[in-house]
Amino acid sequence: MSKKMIVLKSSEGVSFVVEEAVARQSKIISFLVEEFPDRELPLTNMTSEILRKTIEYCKKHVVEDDGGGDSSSSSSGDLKEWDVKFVAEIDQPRLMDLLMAANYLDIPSLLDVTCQKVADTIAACNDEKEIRATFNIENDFTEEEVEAIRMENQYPI
Amino acid sequence: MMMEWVVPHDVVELILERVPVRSLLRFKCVSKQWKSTIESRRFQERQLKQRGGDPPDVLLVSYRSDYESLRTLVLGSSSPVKIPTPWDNMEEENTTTKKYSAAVNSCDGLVCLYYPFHSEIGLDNATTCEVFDFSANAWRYVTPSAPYRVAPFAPPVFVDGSLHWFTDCEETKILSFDLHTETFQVISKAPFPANSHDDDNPYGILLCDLDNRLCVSHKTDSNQVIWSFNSSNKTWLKIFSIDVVMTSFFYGCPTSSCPFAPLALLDAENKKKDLLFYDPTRNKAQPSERGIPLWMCNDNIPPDAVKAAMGEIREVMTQYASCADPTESAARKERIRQAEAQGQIETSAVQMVKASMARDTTGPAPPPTLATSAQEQLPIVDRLGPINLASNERVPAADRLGPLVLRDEDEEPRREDITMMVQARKPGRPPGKRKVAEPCSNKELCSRKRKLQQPRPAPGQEKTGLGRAKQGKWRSKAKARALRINERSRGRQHLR
Repeated sequence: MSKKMIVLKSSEGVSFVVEEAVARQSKIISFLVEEFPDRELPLTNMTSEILRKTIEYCKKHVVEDDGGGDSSSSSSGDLKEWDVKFVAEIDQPRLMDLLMAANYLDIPSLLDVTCQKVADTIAACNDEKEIRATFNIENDFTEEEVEAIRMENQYPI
Repeated sequence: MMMEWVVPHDVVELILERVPVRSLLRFKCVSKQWKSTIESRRFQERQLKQRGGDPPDVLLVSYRSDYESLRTLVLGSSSPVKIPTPWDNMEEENTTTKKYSAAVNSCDGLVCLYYPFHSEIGLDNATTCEVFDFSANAWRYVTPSAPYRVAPFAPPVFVDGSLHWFTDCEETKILSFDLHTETFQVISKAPFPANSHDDDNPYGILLCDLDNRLCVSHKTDSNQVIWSFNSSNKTWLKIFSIDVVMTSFFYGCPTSSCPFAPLALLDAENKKKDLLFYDPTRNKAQPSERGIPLWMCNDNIPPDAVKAAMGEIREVMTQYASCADPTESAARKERIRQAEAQGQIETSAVQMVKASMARDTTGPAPPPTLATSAQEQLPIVDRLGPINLASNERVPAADRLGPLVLRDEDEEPRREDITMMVQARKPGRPPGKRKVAEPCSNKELCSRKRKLQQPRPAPGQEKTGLGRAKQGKWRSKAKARALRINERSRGRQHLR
């Protein structure tokens, strides 16, 4: 049985050939494949690097989904471990890119792991300036307002 | 390094949902948008859900606290969690000061503790209500006062910012007291019978909180019905109807004149919900295992017994599948296939064994009794008590069924009873509502017929039952929950 392949094109114009089942984990691609069969799908807002990472994730997860029912419980634990390793290897800026890609392509499980990883980073962070830098947010509070918010949270939790 | 793009705020919210509360409080000062998001009620609810606030952690607070410390039952943990209280360290002779009470249920994750003579809310049997105002440090009356007397038999139930009581009047009404506005409201037009909490049986009906909705658990002759109140359109919806007889057989719940107190709705497969019960009679019998539901007992289960139980279930299933209507028959077969695929049969079998073992622990040498009984393949009628055929009236399920316990000394007479009963019984007229497609010719089949009358949940309706809750899912969340409990208990202490 030959598997249907589809072609995804990154912002640099690099083409990636992937199995349809792999790509279909993205709800957007799933939709596009039905609308435009047998066409290259251009993903202009994703770099090759991020697209490659996304496909790597999808490939791993599609294989596990095909596995037999008996092994699913043990492999789901392995899969979780794999996910953790997968996001741990990515540096912060690229993690945000990957998160945005997961959001854009609508891959819920990838969005979940990347969000969790970013949330963990935030929880471990002590300085709001770092957070602002990560999210590219401008501080719209005055010094006094920041101080007031800090005072508000003085009570023990 | 500056990035050209800005993370859209809906994605930021997705991330923030997964951040622990303490960090969120600290990072309110990142930007005005972050602050307003973190402080919004909608976000807080989502955050709570994301961080494992669902299903509920604390289900039960033991309130027989005059001799025991405060305990809670946590899903995912097989033993109740003890909440540290200041009086744990009190000297034994100081027992008068140890006499405190705790609210039976928790309000928004906080457990209210109070000394009997310093309670926060007092509602006496007359219609007056007093509220203790902490700012003024004094009691004051609520005006206008409650329009009805509240029924004295049950403590109030806290749901969605209000306390609820049954009223003590002819028609079944529910009185609610909004803690924020301090006003009374009456919920009337209840679909359950007016006299269901009369003097004869004041415990035939009870209030509870399921999924943040006010629910009423109502016991009829053989069914337990649970109504859920929709506060937006003021209507009652029947969410569960449980055949008490069948449930008690399959899951070992005691049949009594009291309705079961449901504790929580658990998410089950296919968007269905499982209902979790707590068994108060067992609690009384075995105080050492307070708060542990039947299926959480970690006993060694004899494989023979499970096999026998599974055989019994399969037999029932086969009969259930044989139906005159070919479409219905196919549908039933499919349902059975699904149940088998999802391991429900095995779960039920294990549940049956556990239930009977749990009961046997009161008697001497329980496991051997069970093992032999399983090998002998006792028919169900032998295990259930005699059925009262003498009267034509509907007899409460508790009277119809005896305990499931197998006691050697009274096994013989009971079996004789059953034999007589089976012969006397007319096969064509089962007590349940469901039609049985094939009339049973064989005597033994007749005795098994009762099984068939379990009202199967219609497709799309919620599943009932205890044993189907997925223990694995709980276990995976156990760690996170234990942590949350800590936070909560700390919050409680702080509040106090």
